[in-house]
Amino acid sequence: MARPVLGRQTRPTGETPGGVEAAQRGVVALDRDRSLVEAARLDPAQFEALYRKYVAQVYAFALYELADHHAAEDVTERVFTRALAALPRFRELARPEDGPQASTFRVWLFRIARNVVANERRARRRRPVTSLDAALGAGLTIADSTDLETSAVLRDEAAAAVRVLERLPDDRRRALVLRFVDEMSTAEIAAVLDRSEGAVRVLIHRALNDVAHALGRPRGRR
Amino acid sequence: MPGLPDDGRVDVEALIVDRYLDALLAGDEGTRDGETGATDRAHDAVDPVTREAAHVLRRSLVRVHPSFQFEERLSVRLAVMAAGRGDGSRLGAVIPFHPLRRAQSDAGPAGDNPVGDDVTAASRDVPAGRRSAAVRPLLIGGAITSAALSLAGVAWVARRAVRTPTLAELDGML
Repeated sequence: MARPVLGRQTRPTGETPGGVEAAQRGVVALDRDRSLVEAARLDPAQFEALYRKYVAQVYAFALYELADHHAAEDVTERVFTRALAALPRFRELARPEDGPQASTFRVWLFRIARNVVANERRARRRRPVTSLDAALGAGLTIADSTDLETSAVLRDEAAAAVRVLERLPDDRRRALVLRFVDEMSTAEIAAVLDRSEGAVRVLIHRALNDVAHALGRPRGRR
Repeated sequence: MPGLPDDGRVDVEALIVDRYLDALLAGDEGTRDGETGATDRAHDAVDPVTREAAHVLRRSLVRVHPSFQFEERLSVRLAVMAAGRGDGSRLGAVIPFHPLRRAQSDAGPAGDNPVGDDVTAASRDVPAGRRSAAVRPLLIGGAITSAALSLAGVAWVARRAVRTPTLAELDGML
């Protein structure tokens, strides 16, 4: 939930004819993690709340990037220890147009994650690569005991989708993971990947077309 | 989009798909039947093939969570780091350790989610009425599958265990 902050665009209540409601229109919602970040700056032990909130998302990003649970854990550990060490240097840059769900702390955290993952990928080039399909294997065997046939179809579909995802160019795969797994907005993904929002939208659009094509559902075939 | 240059057409299509994905990931898309408004307009404007690919990815790209053992170990390490980085008054103090502590959540009583409320952070901002549509598979440390579906499975088995067979089922047994 975004924490409303009376900031630059707040109008004094007396100037707005609509009373409280009108005053709220002028309230700018900034980083939804602002209170947690402020608490962690005052007392580093309070960083735990941020850690608990984002550990799964960072781990998921690392796992989809590296296809290895142990490597994903290593990356997650490095991301959070770096974030804790660098927290005094974090600057909130949320803008009103980023919307009430914006969290620049999350963007900042994922930019650290992107760098750590990139270093890990460089270090792992000479090592055997495992498949994402295998890393997520347990997750793809989701069983609905009431309908085994449908369950099998969904499992096959999931395995195929993950294989397609793995074959995508890095930037397209990364954008899809941030959008579908970490459920980031386009604005957040753009900030994480250092691209414009328009470029990210096109990236995701093309990635979806790639997925559709690879799954045997090319555009135009209906 | 006749009349638009290729670049402009792609940008417009990408924008429409982006709006559609916003609705899909917020859970609106699953409840759109019988509703009208922006969600329907975005739905109708997106190529059905693209929509289907988005649905496949939504179903297939499971959320994952590290093992609780790892999570707690890292929590302790961060607490040690934090204690060393404070103002000094915490040095020598007992390091706070909260096994499987749940983060604050507005998602309901802590007991509702056996894997902890913190793992649902991604869906925490989904409006309450749409949370059921936003429930997604969850993989924990490569070992367990969907929390939601596992719960459904347990409930189904429990119902089967306590349910009195119907007359038709009894006929079938004879």
